[in-house]
Amino acid sequence: MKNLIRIITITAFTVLLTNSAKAQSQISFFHLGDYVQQSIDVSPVYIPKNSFSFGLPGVSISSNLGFSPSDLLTEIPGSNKLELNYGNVKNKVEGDDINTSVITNFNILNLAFKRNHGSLSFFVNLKNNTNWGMSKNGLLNLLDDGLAKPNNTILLNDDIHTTTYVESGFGFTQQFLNDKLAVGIRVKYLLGINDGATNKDGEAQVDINNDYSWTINTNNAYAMSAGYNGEDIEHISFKNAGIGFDIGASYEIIPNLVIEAAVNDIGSITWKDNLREYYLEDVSNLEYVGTDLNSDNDVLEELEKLTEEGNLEVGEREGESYKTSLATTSYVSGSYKLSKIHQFRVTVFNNHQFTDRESVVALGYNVDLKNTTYGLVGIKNDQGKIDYGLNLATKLGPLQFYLATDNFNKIFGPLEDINQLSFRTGVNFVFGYKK
Amino acid sequence: MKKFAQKTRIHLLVLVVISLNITSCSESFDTSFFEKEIESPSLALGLKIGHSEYTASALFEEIGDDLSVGRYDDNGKSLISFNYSQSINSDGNTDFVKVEDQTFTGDFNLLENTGLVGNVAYVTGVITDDKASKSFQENQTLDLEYELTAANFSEGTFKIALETTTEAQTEIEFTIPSLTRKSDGGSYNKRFVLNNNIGTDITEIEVDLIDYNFDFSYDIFNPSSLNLFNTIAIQLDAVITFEAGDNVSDDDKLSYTIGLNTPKAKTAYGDFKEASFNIENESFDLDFFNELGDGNISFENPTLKITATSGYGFPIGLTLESISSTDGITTNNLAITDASPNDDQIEPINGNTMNHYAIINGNTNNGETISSVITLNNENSNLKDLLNAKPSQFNLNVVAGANPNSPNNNSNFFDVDHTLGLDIDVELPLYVTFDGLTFNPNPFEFDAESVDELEENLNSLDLILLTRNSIPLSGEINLDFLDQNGNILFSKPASLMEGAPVDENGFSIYQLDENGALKQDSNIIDPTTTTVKLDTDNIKDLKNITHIQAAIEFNTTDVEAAKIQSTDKVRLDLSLVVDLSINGDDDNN
Repeated sequence: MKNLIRIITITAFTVLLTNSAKAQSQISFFHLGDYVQQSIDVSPVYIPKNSFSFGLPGVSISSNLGFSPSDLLTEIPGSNKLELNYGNVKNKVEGDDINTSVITNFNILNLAFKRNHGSLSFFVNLKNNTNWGMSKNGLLNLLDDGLAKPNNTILLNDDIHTTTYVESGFGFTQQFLNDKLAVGIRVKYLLGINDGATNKDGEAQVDINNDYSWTINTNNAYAMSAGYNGEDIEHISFKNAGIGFDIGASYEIIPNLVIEAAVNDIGSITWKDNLREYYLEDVSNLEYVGTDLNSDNDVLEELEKLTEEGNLEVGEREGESYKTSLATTSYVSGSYKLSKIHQFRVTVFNNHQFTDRESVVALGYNVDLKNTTYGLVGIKNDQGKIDYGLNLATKLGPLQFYLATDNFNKIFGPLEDINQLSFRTGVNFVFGYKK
Repeated sequence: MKKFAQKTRIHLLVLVVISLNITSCSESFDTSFFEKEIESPSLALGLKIGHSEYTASALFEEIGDDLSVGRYDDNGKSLISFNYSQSINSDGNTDFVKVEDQTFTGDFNLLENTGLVGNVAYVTGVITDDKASKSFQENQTLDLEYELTAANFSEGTFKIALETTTEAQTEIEFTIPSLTRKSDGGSYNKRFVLNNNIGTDITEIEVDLIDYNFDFSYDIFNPSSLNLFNTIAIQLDAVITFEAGDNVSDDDKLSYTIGLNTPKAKTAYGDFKEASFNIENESFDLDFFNELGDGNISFENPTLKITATSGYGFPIGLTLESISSTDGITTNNLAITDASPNDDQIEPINGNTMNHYAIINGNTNNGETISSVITLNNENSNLKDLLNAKPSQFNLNVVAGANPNSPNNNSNFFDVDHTLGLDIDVELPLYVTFDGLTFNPNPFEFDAESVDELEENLNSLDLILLTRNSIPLSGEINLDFLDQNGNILFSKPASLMEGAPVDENGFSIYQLDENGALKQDSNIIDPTTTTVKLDTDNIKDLKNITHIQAAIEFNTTDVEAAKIQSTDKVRLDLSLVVDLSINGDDDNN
């Protein structure tokens, strides 16, 4: 039972605390290549090893909290207890922001057919991308008793964006030049469910003065939303829609030496329905100084005055139509297969949504067998740190089991220090085999 | 063989995966971190409650009801001062010029040198036309302590009675040149008839003084000189008509009696000498000192100002040394230490240089008034000692008299309608040293309802007090937490204030501006910050707290005394810092 709890704990952390935006490279999964039909999510070029495969509905969740449990929970000196320590998180995370993200992908339908010189696939996915560039001086500062610290500034300029959409479409791969060149494309219709974001240029700042009075400044502080608001289902509308593409190609330069490139999630969704904006009126040096203690005024009344018209008024207004681009990623890879079994692969991954981040570079080795592949991947992540990945795909009868992680090494470190981990696993029904 | 190898590798791989799982679940895979108890999360919040600003004026006004706080100009700066004002009653001087009832008499030899000899029965023709005329003159002197030259009276009578020893009819024209009618300015005269042969005798008459003016300087023997005083000039012109058989004698007398009855002078002129002037003694309580409790206060430059507005035609001297203060046990009298300035209206009493007069100027023009200001201060008196003895009462037992130090040769006038307005203003500029002077300004409301609701989740509650002080007095602030009946449920020492530094003139160099910022010129001065921690019992009591009172105790920081300006202020900024458990205590139970 104890071990079961631990397994659940490990699983929870592997699922919920994956460093997705960084570990979203899914390079270990990418290196499974044509063994697993879901690899078309990362590479449109897909040459199935089976005539037909059917993916069971599954979920892929990856998230990045931006800090580890041991950053947040610290031991109370002299006791065996832990306490929430937001200040420690602020100190441990470099930079002004903590990048938190959760990416969820529900595979509703996945079918793949092998053709003579290529493949055809159909898919329906429900995706949610949530990214929160959390200002360390914002909510975290607030939770770190920020309102109780004189001469402190609480700066709410968080960049929050969440998008939920359904992508459905087909993928097509065609081989040329005696199958040395393969070109793949996925075309997908995007149905926007909902979208919400803060204004990137907006901010709200509360200066805690030395007497605990506040000086408040706001500038363009608003958040926008579109689509389904959780109440009225009719707002799941075809007005919020777009088209997306994944394209890729691979080329066998010489026997066993293949180069491959893939660009995924090109496209955007235009949001037109149920557009709302929630805003704070701009204020400049609005002061909350309490009340004159010798008057009949009440402190709570003074606080209420802050939100009165002409002050920090909260409002809602109709928004304007806008576009959100998909989180475009790319892979460039070169592989060499030795003795038809030993495959060595170098891969470079880029997330084009976050241009300030370094490329992820990986060197992998896989043992490729008929129905099975497994291997290790050394990864220099976008923080410049080294991770080790592991992948496995094996077919046992009609069932194919696969798993991949980019942070295999984390398992051997203290559990509480894990701040990034990715894990993807699933089961497919596969039928037939064509070489 | 190849299949075998593949299977073997698969088995190896599966073994690796299983091993990994086992490894992850083994004791070496330490999950103890997550098995530790996690403290209930807490959140600290700070909130400015508000501020209270007290001007020095307002603080000192709280001290006592008998105290009014004014402003005293000191080198162009407005210095706060305690002011006591008292008007002294100077009524009761309507009889300042008092003329007692008195009688004057005189007689003359009526028939002397008329040709009659001896005592005989008159025979017609002995004297030509049987008539003789005689005139008599005399100056009578009033019995007065003053030297009056003139007066008029609002009451009283002047009664004249004549009699003679002869039987001959005697007609007398009785003239009093000193007494002139108000109606026409003519001298009083009256015809008397004694032994009237044909009618009724007229032997006496009574005159209302209100109709006449007295000129007491008239000399019947040298009318143009007007050098006399207190004199009533009298002239009698007699005509004697003889009839046969009248018993006459060359020794017959004519005598008169003049009586002044209940005269009440309305106006008077002359030299009133050093007549006493009535001023009632006054005292006023100095409850303010009782409010000090154990605190001490020392005034560096108190003043006592006597402002007199007089319509009287003579100067009045007040004996200053009879001013005193007392704490109920010890009485200290005022002492003049320097009366040398000529313009200070203070003079030593002739023949007694230890005592002094305050001189109230006399008026020179009847019907007008003249003001005099006599100021007692550090430079000319020991007033500071009187006040710094923390007296409970100040006594103005002055003795007043006319023409101080001028017993003779005065030219005075008096009118019963004249008044003397006498105001005593004690001004205590707050140029002081303090020791433990406590102020209890009005408490402010404290609504603990919200705190009460949070009590179960409240880990701690601190009050943060920021003090900004532009008053050049250091001090301590205690916060008293009061219930709705004003009872102190608990008290907390809250702040030790630094006194504002002073310039070379003793004034604070700090200013508290309209935004509550403490500045020296344009430089911001940091406030004194104090954290008042409330313990568990205090927090439990909070629900019964309705008011908080800031009791401020001042002390002077330096040996040098401080000057308190009306613009000096102390400002308290009160904030609340609470630490709340988010989940309550459930996890700890």
